[in-house]
Amino acid sequence: MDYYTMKEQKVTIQNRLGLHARAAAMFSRQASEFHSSIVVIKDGTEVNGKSIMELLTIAATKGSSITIKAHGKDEAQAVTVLSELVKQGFGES
Amino acid sequence: MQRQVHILHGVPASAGIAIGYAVVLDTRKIERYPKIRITSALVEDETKRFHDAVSASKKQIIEAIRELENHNVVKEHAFILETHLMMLSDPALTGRVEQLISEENINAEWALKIALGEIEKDFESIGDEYIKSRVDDTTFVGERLLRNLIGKKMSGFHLLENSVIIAHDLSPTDTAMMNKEKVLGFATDVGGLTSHTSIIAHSLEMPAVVGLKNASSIVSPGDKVIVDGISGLVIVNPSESQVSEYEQRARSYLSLELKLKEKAKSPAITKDGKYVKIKGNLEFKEEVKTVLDHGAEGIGLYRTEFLYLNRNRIPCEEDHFEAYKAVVEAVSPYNTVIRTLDLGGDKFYSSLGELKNEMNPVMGLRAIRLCLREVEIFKVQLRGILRASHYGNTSIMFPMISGMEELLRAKEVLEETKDDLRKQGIPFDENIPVGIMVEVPSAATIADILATEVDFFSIGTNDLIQYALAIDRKNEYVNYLYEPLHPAVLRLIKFTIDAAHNSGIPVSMCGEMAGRVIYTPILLGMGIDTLSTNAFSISHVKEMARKLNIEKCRQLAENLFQIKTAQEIYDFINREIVDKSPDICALL
Repeated sequence: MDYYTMKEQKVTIQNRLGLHARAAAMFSRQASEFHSSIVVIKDGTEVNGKSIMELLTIAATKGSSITIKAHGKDEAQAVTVLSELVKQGFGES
Repeated sequence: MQRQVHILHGVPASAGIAIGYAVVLDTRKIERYPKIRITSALVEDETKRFHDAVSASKKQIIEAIRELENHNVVKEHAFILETHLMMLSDPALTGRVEQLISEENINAEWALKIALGEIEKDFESIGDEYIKSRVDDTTFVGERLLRNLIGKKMSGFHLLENSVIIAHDLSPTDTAMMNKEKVLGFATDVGGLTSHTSIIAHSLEMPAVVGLKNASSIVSPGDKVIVDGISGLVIVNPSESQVSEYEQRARSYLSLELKLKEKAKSPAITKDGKYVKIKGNLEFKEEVKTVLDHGAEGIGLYRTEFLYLNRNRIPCEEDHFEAYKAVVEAVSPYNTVIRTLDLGGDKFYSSLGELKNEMNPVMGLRAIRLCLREVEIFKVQLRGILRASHYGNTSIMFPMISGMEELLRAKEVLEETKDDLRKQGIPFDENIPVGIMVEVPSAATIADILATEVDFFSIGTNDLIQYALAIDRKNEYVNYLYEPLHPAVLRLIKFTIDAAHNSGIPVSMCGEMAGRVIYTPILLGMGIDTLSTNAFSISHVKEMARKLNIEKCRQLAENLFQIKTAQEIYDFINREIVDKSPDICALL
């Protein structure tokens, strides 16, 4: 019985280089810590949020907006944490 | 058993002689691998074989990261390897391979190649060049996996004493392992004078030969090799007599270096008594001592881009002032030419708002164009330079000027800034010389007009050549066209020098061309007043100038303009100058 509702949030990429190697690495590493399945959508392309390679292929540059979707028992937490990571610009100084 | 001697010819990328043992970094892609259909019963075994290869690959990369940590290498390099590690756990790769093995009933190598192909295809459609280039990382990881599957080992990162690195190509990642204590030199199949490898070799003062075509397949690990970065030769399994001959040559090269270092601080005076001023190029204030120790008579180019990079705000006036004051004080009484920002806005963190992604940033909104658009940011830098000029002999230089309007506008902003300082009672050098980089062909072509408005010219050959010949140096398909001796380039240089002298202003050169001694005779012959080079070339250029006769160089330069191709010009210089003097030959 699937009673999770699936959470999602739209965020804008803030950091200068966009979802480049370091940012994609941080994102996928964080995403992998959740039980929920996580997808990232940009311009209709949907990729696995736990895959650094797939994240790189959506080429989310600074200013582009992405949607983070999570589905599973920790979906609310996952969406919050991952959105925050993007909003903080992946801690880039 | 005596192995076969091979002599390979390539491009000398960094001078010096290294005699050591080959460490072959096999960076070439594996093109041949088994494609086998398996039965369902074998799926489990095949999947396990794949997992073993993943574990083996991870282990190797972890080892490499440790190696890097032991050598205190820049963190960025270790990070690249950590990314590779993550890719090995990536479901897009491992999950897909498992799926292909079980659903298509194919062997792991085949499945891996298909999965990699899919990922590479996804990357191809990416518009952002920076992210697009990350496909190299997935390829690197894929190759490592494939090698572990096939059982063909990728060379480890273990370096023994007296290593000579041989590779198809060296990536920034590979160069992370260049430990100067152990690596004596390197040689690669691909690359030219301006490739990444050459530049690194030069800056490490490590002998290197590039463009050897097939060195990595001919040389076996452990082979004794001689890398002759002076004439561009690599000798594999040399005979005893060759080794002793090269040991002799290495000694005389080192003694020449030593001799040049001793004479570095004396001025360069040609055989017929003309004094040639040689200056140094500078990036960080920490380099000042090195540059002066190598004999620089001033700084011909102080790049200021570092102030804008690697920080999360636009540099403030104090940032500029501190950096410039430190340098001009240390260099005085010699002069320091400070070049204003020569970057595109996309390169640094900015509060400039969204700068549009440019298709071709080299020809886009950068350098003086950006500064004239963002006048307030420009003024902050100008204030910093002007204030520093109070503390030492300073000149100011605008990059990428393409026409008179830009130059006049830049000078206008400078005057406004001076006015502000005067009103505030802040001291600066009222007579600070103002010059421009001549690096856009349009500027060279109207050099006679521009010369009436400035105190000096500095020819930036790297960009001038690139723009004049319409080639992107970073593009491997066309960078062979990059040619300082192209008659068009020489004409632009000659016209610029003549225009400057007709207006009574001096002209210097600060591109790479200025630091290569083979070009010194024609540059002096065309009348260049000052050459500004990287620290390591200063003593060489000085010594070259000492061996030359200016009058002869002038004749040489005059005759140059009758010659039709770069190759013939090169031959002509060799015939007329190099072959006639063993002294000069020894410097090349």
